[in-house]
Amino acid sequence: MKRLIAMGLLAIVAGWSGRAAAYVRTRTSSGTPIAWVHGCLQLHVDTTLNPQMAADRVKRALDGAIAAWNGADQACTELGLSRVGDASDARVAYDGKSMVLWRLPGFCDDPANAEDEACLAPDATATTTVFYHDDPGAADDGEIEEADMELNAVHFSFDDQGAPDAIDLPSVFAHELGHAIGLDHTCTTDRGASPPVDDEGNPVPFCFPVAALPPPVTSATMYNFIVPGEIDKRLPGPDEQHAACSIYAAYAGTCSGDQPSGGLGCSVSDAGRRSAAAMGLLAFVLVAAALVRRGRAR
Amino acid sequence: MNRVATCAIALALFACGPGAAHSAGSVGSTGSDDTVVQTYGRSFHFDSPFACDPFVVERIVDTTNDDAEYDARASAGSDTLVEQTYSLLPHDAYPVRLDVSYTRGSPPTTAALWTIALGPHDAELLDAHHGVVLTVHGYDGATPSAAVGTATIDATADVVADARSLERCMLPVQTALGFVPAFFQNRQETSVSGNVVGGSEDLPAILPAWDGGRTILGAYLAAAVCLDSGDGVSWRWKCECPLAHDDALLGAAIASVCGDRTAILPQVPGWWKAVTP
Repeated sequence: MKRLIAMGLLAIVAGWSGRAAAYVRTRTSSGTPIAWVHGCLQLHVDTTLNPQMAADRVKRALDGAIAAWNGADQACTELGLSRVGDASDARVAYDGKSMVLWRLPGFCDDPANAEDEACLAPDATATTTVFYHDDPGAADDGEIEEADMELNAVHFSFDDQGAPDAIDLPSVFAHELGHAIGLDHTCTTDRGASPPVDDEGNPVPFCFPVAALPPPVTSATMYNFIVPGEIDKRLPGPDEQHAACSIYAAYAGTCSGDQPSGGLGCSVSDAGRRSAAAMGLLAFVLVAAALVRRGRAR
Repeated sequence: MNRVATCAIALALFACGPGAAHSAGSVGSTGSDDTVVQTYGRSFHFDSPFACDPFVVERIVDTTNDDAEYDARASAGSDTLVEQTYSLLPHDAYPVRLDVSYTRGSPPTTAALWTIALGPHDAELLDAHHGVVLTVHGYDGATPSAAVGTATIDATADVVADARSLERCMLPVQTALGFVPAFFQNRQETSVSGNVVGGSEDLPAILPAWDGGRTILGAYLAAAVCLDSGDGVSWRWKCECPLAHDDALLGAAIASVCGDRTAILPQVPGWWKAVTP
């Protein structure tokens, strides 16, 4: 019940006071925004370790980011993100298992890895590849099925203690988890295409020159760029929290623990759907009631 | 940045539940990454192509969309931050671009200065609103010709001097700032660690139709040394001979000014050499 009240209150706040910031969603080839619908993100950590960081530090950083996104301070939604265990022979592929894996020095020297994102984009500290249904017109168009994260230790050092010359792993996880739930960057570097639009329908600004970008763009956790030693984006910011609440307010996916490889690690019961529908209806009723009261007060 | 690699691979999807079957459909994938800003915040000294002492703040290289921004001041004492964004636009008639803007004041404000748009043979200088200031035909040949447009750029402003000075530093070729992005050599990013230009040359060209007499870096350098404002207002194409450069960088000698110059400094790096796509 508390959750329902919180959802309603959040909707009321959104309806009354406007939003703190806009957010950008990743879209399919036909423009449908992507999101988890039935499944949920259950991450496995590759057993191939980065000698720079002990496994427990990596998992602690990941768990912290997961907890932040799951909403310790935002009762509007339950994203159900989780770390479910370790996995070996990890790869970036649509294989039913969402992974966190390291790309270690020497990885890009193997011609077999030439097309890997860690090698194609050497300035990227991490890359998240999201797999989703791309079926224009179909009911499941845009539904996310899997997300794999690559951490680029080929070209960068990572740390979780604020080392000035290293990339802050908790910040990276916070950013990449945003991609994993369907969020895109707050500015675009693609000049050749029509710019994407944010949730309010406004064109996303071009990134360069970065000095001209407004603070809401650069201060967002989903801002494209990270500076070594930067540690102030370890949590979803107001716009990302708003995104999570808006996109997943009626989210009905439920998770059933670690799944064997090949499964998608998720399930949705009819009861879950009914519950979500009921919550959505109640939220709508609360918003409607609030707006009525507001109207009468004028 | 997104590398939208829409696989559109027809795969048999798994059901939302362990091991269960699901109807066939298309699966797209999107790779999104988190790009590192290389921060310097200190002065550098470069000897070529012109001697300069810029204060370089940071560099951002987006290898996915072939953009590289350099934020620098002409000197450590300058109050003007100049942002130079070098980029390739494969589908544009003038696919090689340099956008220049600056930031100054308190609170800081940012404004566009000009854009240099380069094709393999012709070039344009555009003002902050993309009005044509100067069109140059055949800049890669022996007898380039220029036509003045209706737009103007006030070259008397001190910020213009700062920006021109930084252009002449040719920050994209300065290895002291890190690897030279492969797209400056008209190459897709290589998988070799560090992605230093000069990697595998069997990688596909980003601009396969680039058939100019100059390389992409040569085109940038030609613009840096040939765009000139003699009276402070009217711009013209009048080339100054760089202190040190290699004709191989330019792909062809800069017409008339450098004459029969044969001086090629031995320290000129090999990656300046012309590449035939």
